[in-house]
Amino acid sequence: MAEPDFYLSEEQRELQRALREFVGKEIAPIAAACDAEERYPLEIFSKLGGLGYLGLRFPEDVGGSGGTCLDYAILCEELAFGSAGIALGIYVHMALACAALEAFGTETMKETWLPPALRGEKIGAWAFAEAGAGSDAGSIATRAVADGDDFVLNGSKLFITNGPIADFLIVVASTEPEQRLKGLSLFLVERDRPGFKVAGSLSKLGVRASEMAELVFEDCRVPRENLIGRENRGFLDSLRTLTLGRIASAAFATGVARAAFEATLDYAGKRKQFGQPIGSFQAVRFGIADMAVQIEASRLLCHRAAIAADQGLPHGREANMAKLFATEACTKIVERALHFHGAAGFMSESPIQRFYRDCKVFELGEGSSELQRDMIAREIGL
Amino acid sequence: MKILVCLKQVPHQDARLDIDGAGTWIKEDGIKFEINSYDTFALEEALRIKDAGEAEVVVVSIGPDRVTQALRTALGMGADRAIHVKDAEIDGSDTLGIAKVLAAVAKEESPDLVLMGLMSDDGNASAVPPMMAELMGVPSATAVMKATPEGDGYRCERELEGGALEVVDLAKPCLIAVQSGLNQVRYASLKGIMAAKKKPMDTKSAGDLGLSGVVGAAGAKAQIEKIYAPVRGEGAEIIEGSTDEVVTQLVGKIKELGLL
Repeated sequence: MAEPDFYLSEEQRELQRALREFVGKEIAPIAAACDAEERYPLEIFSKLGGLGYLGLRFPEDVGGSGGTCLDYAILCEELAFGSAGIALGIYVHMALACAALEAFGTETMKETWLPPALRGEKIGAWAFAEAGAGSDAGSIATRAVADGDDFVLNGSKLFITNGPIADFLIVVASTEPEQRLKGLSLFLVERDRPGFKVAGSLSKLGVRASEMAELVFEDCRVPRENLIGRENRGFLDSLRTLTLGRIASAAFATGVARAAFEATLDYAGKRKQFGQPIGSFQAVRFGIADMAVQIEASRLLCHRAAIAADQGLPHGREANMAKLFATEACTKIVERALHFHGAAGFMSESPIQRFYRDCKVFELGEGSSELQRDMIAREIGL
Repeated sequence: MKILVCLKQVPHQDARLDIDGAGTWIKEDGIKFEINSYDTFALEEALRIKDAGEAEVVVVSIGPDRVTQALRTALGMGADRAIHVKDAEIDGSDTLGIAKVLAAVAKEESPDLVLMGLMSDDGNASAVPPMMAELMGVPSATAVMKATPEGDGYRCERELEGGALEVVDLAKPCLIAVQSGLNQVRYASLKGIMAAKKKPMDTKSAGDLGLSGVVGAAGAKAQIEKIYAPVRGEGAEIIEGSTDEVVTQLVGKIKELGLL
């Protein structure tokens, strides 16, 4: 029998093995408690950073470790296998905040923020969504008005992951409101900047280990040097940052689905009813076989998009398909996993109920399923 | 300073184990393998010595192609180079045969220190380290909980029965077989994993080591007759009911047997 991941390089298998070991020992044991307490384990940042994993895909001259998009997909799946909430905090830090700084930031910004951020000593957040702007980025109402050598920010951001724990934020604000999408710019805002405050932590159904907040900017004055990239180019720059997010979402969904699947496979072999393991009953067997197929299909779509990205090929359609398929498959798989666990999976102490609460977020974030379908329809010529 | 770390690749602790057709080993097809847990502590101890000063860490493992994965893991964690002893002729060796192979590698390498686990997770024999030390003609200590440089060698604290510790001084070159838990084993860093590919890995056969015809099933003094799962015993009786009922019945049974 060929290994299902025969296309991975020796280093990628080793990366996967090392991450499974790390996640098994450092993340899985605290996942339930962090979920219950709605607390992000900050030490995970420094542990992963110390081993160079936060620097994956970042160049060595800013403290990165190099690596490919496929390596990154492997990282995401393994982290989410241990805890979707912990994975999400790492993702926002690496793939949004640090990636935006690396791609569009000034040399000073990169030198100041990236090395400590990639070591996990400074944590980043991505302040994009607002009460009136999610998928519709053109409606962003946070304003940045030029005033001498400064910009003055006013407005509020909602549903900001890492908001309560971030040392720096990448804020998307409107510099030319009438231009809508084409009038958005990105700003680096440090946590201690006057006029910025975390208005309050938000409690969530799932991914509760990641901390989320509402952020408020009241005459928050930032120097022009904090402008990331060019003025009024913020949306286009954001789009580039977000493509990777679709691959990451697909990988997260694959990781959560695999966690639910493995637990169910184990349970079905041990749990006996009518004198035999429930895994010998056709209804359960077929259901678990379907899980296995859907997980492998999810991973293959995700890895195809990642490999295309690594080869410099267009991969927007691939990333959208992977994200749509994997996230919806994950929700179905976790639903079946809970069903096959019966009352045991419904108990608060069971990890299955956590997966059940966690999985939905992946269908919502980084482009809802509807947005994905719409983009795919356009990409296939409709 | 050169340190030779002997690693064994064993079935993964979560692997499902089934006995093979011959009834003398497990089916290896389709199961995952990992580095013997005791050996990971030995590797960590070697890497700590390397971190503290100048040392080259060489890892050696015996087995089929899959063993390269264990060696890559060790290189990713920080070992400098690897030796893979691969030869079908070695299959079926007893513990002495394995010790001969490792001692032959040690003879070629002339390490100042050999580190390895006290035993293997699968074989459980604890025989290879002392045999290897004898074949090399060097002093050794097993079940070592702590090793510190002392004079021209190491002061080792060995774990004895009942939790007592025995202190033994070994002059270099020497062999130390570690107990599990003497340190906290590091994770491979991303840079370490990426760098592992560029590190040398030599492959050697029994012939290369001058051991043709000496090792393997032919040279083995001990052979595995069979392995089997213990048969469920007879005669146990489970008493069920409320606590009062269970106690009354239990006391009754004990009296019945004339034990009270």
